[in-house]
Amino acid sequence: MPRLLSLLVVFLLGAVPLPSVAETRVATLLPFVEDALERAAPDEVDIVASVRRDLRVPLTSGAADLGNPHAPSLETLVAARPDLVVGDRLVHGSLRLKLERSGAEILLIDTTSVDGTLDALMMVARQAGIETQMRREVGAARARLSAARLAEPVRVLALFGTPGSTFAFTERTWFGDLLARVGYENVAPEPERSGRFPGLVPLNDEIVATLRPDLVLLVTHGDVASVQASFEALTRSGGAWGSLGRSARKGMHTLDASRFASNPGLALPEAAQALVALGTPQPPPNVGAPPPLVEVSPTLGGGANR
Amino acid sequence: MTAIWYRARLHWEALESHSWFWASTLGASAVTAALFAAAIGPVAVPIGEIGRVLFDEAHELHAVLWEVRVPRVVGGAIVGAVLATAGTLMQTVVRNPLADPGLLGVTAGAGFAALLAIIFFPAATAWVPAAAFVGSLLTVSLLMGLAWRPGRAGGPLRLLLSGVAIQAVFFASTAMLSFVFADRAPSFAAFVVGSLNGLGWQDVRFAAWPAAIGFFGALLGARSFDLLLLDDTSAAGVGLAVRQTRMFAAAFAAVLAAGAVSIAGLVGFVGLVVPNAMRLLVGPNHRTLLPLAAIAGAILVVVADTAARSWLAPLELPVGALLAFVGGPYFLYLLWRRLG
Repeated sequence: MPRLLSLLVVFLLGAVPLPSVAETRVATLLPFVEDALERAAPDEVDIVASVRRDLRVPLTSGAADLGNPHAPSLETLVAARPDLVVGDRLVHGSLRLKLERSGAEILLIDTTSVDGTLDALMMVARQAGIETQMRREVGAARARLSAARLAEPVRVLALFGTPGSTFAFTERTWFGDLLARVGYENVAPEPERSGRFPGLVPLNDEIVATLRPDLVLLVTHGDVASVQASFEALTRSGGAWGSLGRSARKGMHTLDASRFASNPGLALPEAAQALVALGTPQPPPNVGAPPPLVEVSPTLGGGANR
Repeated sequence: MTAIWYRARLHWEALESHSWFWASTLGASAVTAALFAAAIGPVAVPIGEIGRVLFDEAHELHAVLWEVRVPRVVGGAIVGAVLATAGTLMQTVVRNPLADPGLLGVTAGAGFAALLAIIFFPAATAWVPAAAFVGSLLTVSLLMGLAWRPGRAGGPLRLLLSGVAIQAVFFASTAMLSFVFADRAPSFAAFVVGSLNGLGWQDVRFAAWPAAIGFFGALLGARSFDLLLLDDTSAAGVGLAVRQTRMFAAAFAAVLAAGAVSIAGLVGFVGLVVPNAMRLLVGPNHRTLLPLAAIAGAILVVVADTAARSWLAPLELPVGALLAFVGGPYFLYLLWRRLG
């Protein structure tokens, strides 16, 4: 009996560790989910497999490298023996049957809006058994998002793509939704029907000529420098894009691909703050965006369109 | 030394002239290729352990091997075999070594039907192979309807040109649909370039039936297909029902190609390269050519797919694109030889 009591005392003092609950083995096809889980509960979730953020750069996190987020390696996924596989509803919906062969539960989430993204993170956390920790992070993110707000509305055109194949973000994307939340007024035309790419509306010269944004933002997955140079040349060549350059008194900016090219998840507030900084009269330097794509020169800015 | 070399060469040439030599060589190569394909990939499986991993369900690599890699290897072998067989038949039907299963619009029809399924039934991904299969068969039926004129000459040219026209229409329709519904068509990109990624046992079972029917049907008609290589008048002179035989050969080719396209997409050049290569080795006799072309096609696709999934692992190259690297130069070589 005394021995039993002493064991109980030692146990209560924490000298004997409690039997640990098995960590949920998560494989994610969305890098921001990996970031969020690491941030919320780094020691309580085992991220066994993830995808590359840049196809040419292998993973260094120690998780099994699934490669291309759009065509993950099924062999590697199965070998990682995950309990839960997290993917995007739109991107990975067609892969569901293949993913199910991993034997894991498949969770395809909606990432087309800010609230949807944060709700989805809560859903993932619930499945992974770290709901409390994630609620804390999501709550903090929501609070910081509410604080990021432009003093006055700014008319913005947010572009995705390259010269010759350009789309504008609408509020049906997480980025368009984020712009609206911080107080931007999106000048992109509303698509008449479900377009070629959900949430994105294609632009051509005639449409571009009708748009009068104060600020043009550019998101690209490609070679930023060459896309910058192409847009710069396009803007200087006159025509529809020239009028866009003249209208954009706050400039044309290419955005940091690591923060804006895909959904940043719990880093949405930082993205929002960077956007606010771009829309305020005196943007402080180094706020997450690289130097302006096109500084509107007096000759470009002196047109009749303003 | 020269004498020894000369003798060795004579022996080699004597061996080469025997189809059993090529049959055994290709058979051994097929087994070796399958073993290496099972061992190599993003997750390495020691080649000596393959048997143990396959039969030990508790082994940590069992699921990788049994659920993912082995069906992919088997599926790849079926795809290669049927495409090579279909290519052999097509080259016989139109009496042209530059023909392949895509020539009659079979693959284009399959692609169009698959795209329709992807666009209008996005949730039913399991039905895409079935749609592709049905699309292939409908295309062949249409082709037969166009090419068959009772009481009039039905030479290979009519069949060929009808196929080219149908192919053009389906490719154009596919391009337009892909453009308008690009949001729903990303999974179609893999179909167009041909990929074995994600092939499972269900796909293997799906392709096995048309493969078996088409292959054994082709073997049964092998003697008649030999006569098709003659001109129509000579073939008819020895009692062959030329048009019927040609249509049967085309139908078997279509069934075979449909099975392959339905699970692997538009894998090109196997049906062009392999029959020509095998014809150079064993001659035009279909009883020998068809099975050996099938084995060689299986080897080619299995090896190419192993390279496709291992070269930049875990990134995967589409096997169709990789095969085009081989097929393209070979096609140019054939053109150069024929046209000078």
